[in-house]
Amino acid sequence: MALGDSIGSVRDERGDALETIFWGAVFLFTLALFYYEFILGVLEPEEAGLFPVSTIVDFKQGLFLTALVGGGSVVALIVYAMFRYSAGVRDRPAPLSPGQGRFKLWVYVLAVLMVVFTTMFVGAATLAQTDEASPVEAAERIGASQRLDMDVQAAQWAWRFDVAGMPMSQAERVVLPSQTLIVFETTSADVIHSFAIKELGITKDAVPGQANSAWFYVGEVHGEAQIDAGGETVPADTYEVRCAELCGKGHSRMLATIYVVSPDAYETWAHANGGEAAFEQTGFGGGGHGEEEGGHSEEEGGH
Amino acid sequence: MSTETATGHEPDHDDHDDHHGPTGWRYWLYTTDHKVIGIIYLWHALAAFAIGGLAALIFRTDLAVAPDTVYLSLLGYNSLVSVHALTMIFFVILPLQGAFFNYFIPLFLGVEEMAWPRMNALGAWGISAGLILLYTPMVGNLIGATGVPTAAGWFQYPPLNSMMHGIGQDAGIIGIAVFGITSTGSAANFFVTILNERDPSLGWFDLPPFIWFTVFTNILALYSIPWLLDAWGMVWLERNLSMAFFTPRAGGDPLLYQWIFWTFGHPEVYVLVLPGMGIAAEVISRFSERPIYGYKALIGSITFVSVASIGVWAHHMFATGLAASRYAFMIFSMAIFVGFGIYIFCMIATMWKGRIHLTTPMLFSIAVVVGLLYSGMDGAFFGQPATDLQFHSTYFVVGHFHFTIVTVGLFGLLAGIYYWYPRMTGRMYNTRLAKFHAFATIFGMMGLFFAMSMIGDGSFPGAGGEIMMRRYATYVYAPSLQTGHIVATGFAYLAGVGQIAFFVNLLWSLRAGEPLENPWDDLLSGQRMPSPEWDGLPYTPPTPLSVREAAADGGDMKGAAAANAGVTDGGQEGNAASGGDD
Repeated sequence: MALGDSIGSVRDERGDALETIFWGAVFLFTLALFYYEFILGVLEPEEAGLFPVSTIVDFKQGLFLTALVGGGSVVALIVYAMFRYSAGVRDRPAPLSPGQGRFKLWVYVLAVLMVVFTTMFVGAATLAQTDEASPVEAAERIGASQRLDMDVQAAQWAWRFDVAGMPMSQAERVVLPSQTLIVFETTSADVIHSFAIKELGITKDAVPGQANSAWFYVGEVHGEAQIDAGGETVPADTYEVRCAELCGKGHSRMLATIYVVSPDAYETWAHANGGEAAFEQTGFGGGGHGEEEGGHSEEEGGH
Repeated sequence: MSTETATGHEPDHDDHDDHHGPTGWRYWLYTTDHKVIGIIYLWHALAAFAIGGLAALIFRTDLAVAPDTVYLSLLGYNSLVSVHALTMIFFVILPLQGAFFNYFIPLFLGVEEMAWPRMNALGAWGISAGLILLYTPMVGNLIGATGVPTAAGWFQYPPLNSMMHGIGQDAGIIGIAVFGITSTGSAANFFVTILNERDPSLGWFDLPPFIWFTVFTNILALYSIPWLLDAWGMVWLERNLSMAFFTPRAGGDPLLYQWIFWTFGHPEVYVLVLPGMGIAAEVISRFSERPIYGYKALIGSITFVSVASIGVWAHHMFATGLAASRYAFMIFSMAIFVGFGIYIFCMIATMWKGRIHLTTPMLFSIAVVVGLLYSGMDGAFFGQPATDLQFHSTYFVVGHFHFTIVTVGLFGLLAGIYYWYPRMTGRMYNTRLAKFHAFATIFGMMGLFFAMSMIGDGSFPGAGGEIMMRRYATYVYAPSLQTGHIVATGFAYLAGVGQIAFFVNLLWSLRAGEPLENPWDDLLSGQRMPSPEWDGLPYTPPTPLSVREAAADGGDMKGAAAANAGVTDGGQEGNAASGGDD
């Protein structure tokens, strides 16, 4: 850092060195913050809620924080340099010397590599637990004791949902149970569409001639909406389905709403609509969930 | 080859005056002079920029006025968006790069002419042909004779593309294909000129950064554009000759198209941004009064980025049902950060403790570095499949790629216009108007793209977490997004007003600008930092040592600058200006 050997006073040099140290510290602090957030994200158990989105969200927050603090500090650095070294306040540029700052460049590259590698590992782990996870793996990790299958067929410009056990297809509104792993398969009758529920972290293209499958899981129902299930209104949550691939002029109107109700209410609803709740047991998620199951069948017995 | 300075400028001068070549429109149409062709490229790009920008303002206004479409039909909206994208990508940024490649590669390298001047002229007129083909259906539609122009998005995904009727689809594909064919020739031409024609005194590591970025741009263009022609050629055959490549009912595979298209698509993004980054590197070095920091590290990083860009295409396809290959594409995509990180480091290190002149080109160049940083940071969400699935096809993507292509690619090229326009026309522009343009563009565009990102990840205040999806003509499902769209459109209009100042300034400068050789000499306080396009050859790149010795020699480089100016005077720089004024 013994640079300004000919130009600028000793005081300036010391000030320059301090500045460099300050900005280096800012950068390294960012790095530390990034690791802190990631380690927290990896260690903390997820809140049982919406899957796969709650698995993604920790990782996403880590990335956001890096972008915000890391990117922000570099932007601050640029703006600072713009004014601190502007021609209005400086007579001469400090000369560079050969090889100057090589060490800093290496430190920087190493830091970027560390961030990139960490991101790769955590990102790969997140992917393995979300979109890459098979329904069986997902059921095991989430502790979902039952699953329900659904076919999603897209056509210009509407969705058709065929839920296992239901005799009729559903279109703009589809009712699904909570506490159940919903395993779905998308396909298309004409052009490429994309089945997206952004609130759940789901995007799956519906490609003609091809079936893509994925899953999601809703833990509990908060009751932000209500639906009619065999004469009684039951609380439901809504999740919006969007088409996420340009599919022609009706693209922006290719919408649907998923109403998630409790498993009991779903059973009532299914019976009232001439079908049945075709839950399959996954063999996972005993314990607390089993009790719920017990309570649920009791209630059914009461019917 | 010791008279490089002379050969750099004299012959084309003679060319014009002695041959008594064609005048009027024939002068422009028949020319094979690299400078004149560069100017043809420039005005094509600027005209397309005006048209594409107006298209954007039209549909942005429609989005802001009401959640439902107001004056555009649903199909018309899709069409206008597609045309905007195709125009901006193929007919604004690529020709604008071509303008600088054409004009400055020979000047940088001490060459009289491009390797293949006629191919070069073909490249220029390929832009016209492509533009006319793309816009003919738009004119046809306005007078009620045809359907809308291409409306399948710039991806042109089949089977949607194959299933849409109308001349607009074919015209769009053919228009881009014509331009693609001619620009493949131009890319080969630029590359070969740098490879074979440059002055023997210039070694590879004497080349200015801009030339290095040009080399990689053209290698990537040569690699990628044939994939595009391949994909769209097959789509054309499918549409017109009932062949089946991509339509599943006839036995094709729609994903095959995406593999081919994105093999083109990702290197193409780097084709769009690298020249802008190269210009920014030149400008930041010049207006920080320092040789570029870490020249070899910079070249190494760009080499790495270019090679890596060839291996990341499937991150555009994470939602298509890809399985484990996503891990590999994620790793490649993330690795690119290292390359761009080194670029950002080098730019800041060049500025650090320099003497910074906040001229218009410098403002745009700094915006390039900031834009690259931003688009890298939010690009991480798309390099990672897990988060990509959450953001795929939302306005967050729209914000992201606009940051990449506009604030990196286009801003770099705007910096180039402000840096080199006096060199191309011999006249200075109005610097106040230029600064107004810079502020309106940088704040307007960055504000617009940031607003887009916020609408797209549900964080816009008052949107209630609603997410705007990409290519949605309406958002009747979430009227709360309207505030976001109004803000975005406001920023778009700010940028639009800036562009009016830009065009007025350039046109005014052609007529009435102050005649000037080199507007930047006076600013520099005495670093000996020649650059061949201004000072001619012989050229040795400034290094920390050479600059330091120059300072130690007595420091006053005004003398050196004056000597350089003398050389350029002798070289008849005004020649280019006469070309531009005709």
